[in-house]
Amino acid sequence: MFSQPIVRKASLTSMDLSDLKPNDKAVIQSISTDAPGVERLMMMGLVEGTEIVFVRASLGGDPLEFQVYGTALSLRKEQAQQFKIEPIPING
Amino acid sequence: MASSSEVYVSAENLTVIRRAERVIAVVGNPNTGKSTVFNRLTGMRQKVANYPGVTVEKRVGRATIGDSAFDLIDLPGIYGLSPYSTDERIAVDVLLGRILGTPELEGILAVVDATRLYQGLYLVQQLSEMGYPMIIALTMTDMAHLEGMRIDIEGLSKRLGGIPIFPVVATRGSGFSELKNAISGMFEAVPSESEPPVFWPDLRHAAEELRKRIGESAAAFQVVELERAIIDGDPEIVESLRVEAGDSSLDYLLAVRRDLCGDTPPLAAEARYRYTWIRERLSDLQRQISPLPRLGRAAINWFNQPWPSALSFIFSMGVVFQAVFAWAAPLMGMIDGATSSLGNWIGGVLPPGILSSFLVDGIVAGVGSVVIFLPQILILFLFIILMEDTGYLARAAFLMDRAMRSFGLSGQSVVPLLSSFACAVPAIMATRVIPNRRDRIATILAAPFMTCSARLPVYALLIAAFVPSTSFGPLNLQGLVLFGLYLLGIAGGVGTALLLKRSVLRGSNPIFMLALPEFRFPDLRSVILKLFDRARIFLRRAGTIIFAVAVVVWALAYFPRSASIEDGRIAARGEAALSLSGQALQVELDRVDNEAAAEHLAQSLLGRAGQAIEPVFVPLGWDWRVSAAVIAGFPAREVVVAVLGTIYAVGGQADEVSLAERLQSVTWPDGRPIYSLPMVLGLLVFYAWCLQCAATLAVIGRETNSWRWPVIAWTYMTILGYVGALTIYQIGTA
Repeated sequence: MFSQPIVRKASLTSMDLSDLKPNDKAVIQSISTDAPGVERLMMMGLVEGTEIVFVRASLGGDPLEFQVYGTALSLRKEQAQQFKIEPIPING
Repeated sequence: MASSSEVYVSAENLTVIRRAERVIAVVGNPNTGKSTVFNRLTGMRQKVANYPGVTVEKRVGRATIGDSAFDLIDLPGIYGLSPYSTDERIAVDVLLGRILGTPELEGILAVVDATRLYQGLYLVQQLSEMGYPMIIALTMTDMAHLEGMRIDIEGLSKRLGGIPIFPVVATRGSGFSELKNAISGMFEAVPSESEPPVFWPDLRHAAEELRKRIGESAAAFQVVELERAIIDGDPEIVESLRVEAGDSSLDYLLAVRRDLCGDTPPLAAEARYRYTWIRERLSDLQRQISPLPRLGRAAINWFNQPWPSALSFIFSMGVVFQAVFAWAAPLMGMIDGATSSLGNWIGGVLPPGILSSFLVDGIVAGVGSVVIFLPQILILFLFIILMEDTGYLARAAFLMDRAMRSFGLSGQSVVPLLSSFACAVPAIMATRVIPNRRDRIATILAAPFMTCSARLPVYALLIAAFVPSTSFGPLNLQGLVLFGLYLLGIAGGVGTALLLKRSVLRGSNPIFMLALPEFRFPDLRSVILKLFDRARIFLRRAGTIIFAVAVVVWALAYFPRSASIEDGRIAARGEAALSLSGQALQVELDRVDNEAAAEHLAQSLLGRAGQAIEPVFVPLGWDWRVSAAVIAGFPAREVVVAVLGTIYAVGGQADEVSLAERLQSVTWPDGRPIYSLPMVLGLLVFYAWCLQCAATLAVIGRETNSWRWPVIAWTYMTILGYVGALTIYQIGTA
């Protein structure tokens, strides 16, 4: 009855979404679900296992633009830092 | 044809068949082309009103399909049933049937963007669990195809438990005949067949468990409401749970929530579950082949880089301003010309007196002062709507967010604030894109500080008359002063926003989440409908107030009417006619009329108000005439030029040069000039900061849905303008 999806523990790499370079791809590994505003982003599909592409930073390096499930989303740095990721190597 | 809400009428009366129309909500993520689908289905037969107590627009339209009609409600875009903004709250409340005066829903038309299938299906799962008959319109299928996305629609429909899916291209109208057929048939299915699927059975079990534990008083709640209470802890439902079923029900609620989610915040648990479900079910239904290379896409991508984006933003705002000022000017000239010739015509037909004055200076001038705003407001609205519908507004917000954050605002404030350099009215209406209420109010209160086009005539008059046209190299002093006034407005607005965000509107804005829609060509029909809507709102809300106030100002300037001034005027005209002729006579007659008008104004209620209030304004270097003109300008600041013209007896229609000459010569009784440089600079500062615009006040009241904010804005800006003018005059004359 309680078939919760398995949530992987935070990976050993401590990279988060704000550490990516433009056009880098990554998979979300763990999320600080208690940080403000994070639930809203999860509702938009930023959950564990989601593939995400960092597109670019705005003028001055913040906010950041990501591509998630076909939607371009803008996140401020402090929000991006709530999502720990595992980068996907290019051509990998 | 087993629907219970039909009324059968005999065949002869077929034309008057009436039935209670089925009510269908059109629901979808923002920017899915939902409104375009709605407009396609309903055509122009739609009504726009507001939901009670909020500024969210309620859009209802009737779709006639075959011989049946359906009432469609276009709900604000949502990502899920957990609302974060007023718009989203309304959408969810309508779906849960919690809004009075909104008909009960009977079906759902879910609009899903094929290029953003996952987010669409997240919402579809939740909608399906509400239990209404539902069909899905899959939009942007052409875009998805171009991007190399291949979706097995039949397979998808099966996985979703048989919810029918209809691919459409809303802008071109393809796929709509199938969609319409499906809508007209959606209530004819046998109930047992159409039992909508439940995608997260654990949540359903939890809700049923909660219902069991609460006992009989749970009958008052729909199962979806209990589910939302478990997930969101929706305060309204939780409170009614407490009232209906006692405090123990809250313990049950927490217990089932803990069983379902453990320590994870419930909404996070829901997102994890549903997105995992989608990912697992969809992977074999959706194929990604390499997207077709598209020149447009590459170009847009390049333009979205920070620097090209900044340059294109500056360029587009430049075009907007050029359009607002250059295109609107001839139209405004025409409207102005039409009002004054209508006024002249009435003045010629009717004998002079109260009726003529009321019609010409009250009604015609009042209507004129409303209509004169329309060209630039419509042009500005057109550009704002185009920016919204192409997705550019979100791009501008993304670009400017960092810069705006240093003023305590967010990127979404930038276009409203820039628009208010043309006119604060459409700018304030455009703040609806700002989801955070505190940011929105700070933006609304900053907007009226920006130098709008109505301030320009006042600036132009005073600068031309009193600021010497000396040049320092390429810089002209008059130009510098004008530039300084723009800066002063910006400083006032930014300072106000900062002040508010550090005091009454303090609070962090954790949820700055901005979807950046793909650039797309706007749908002409939607643009026109929106433009009409906003023009109508302006005319209804602001127009009536501007008009009423114009009539009041007329009355203040007209009453009481002195018979002796009138007798004197007629006698003087008679004398002139005896001694003069031709051109000289006309000049003398105008002089006599203008003198009489000035005398009338001096002893009118307005003139007396100016004299009564003069002591308040003397520290600013203003005499009663300036005070009276400023009072008359409170409803609409540009009126001050005409009032000064009347008060100094050069005529209300006088050109600026003759008025400027006259202003230079007026003095205090002791011979000092009234319009000294410190006084003029102070007056300019007063105009830069004071909120003299009834339309803006009306719109602030409407958009904040309270009388508190317009009162605060008016008081605050008036005090600021007064103190600014006082400081400059006192320092300048010390």
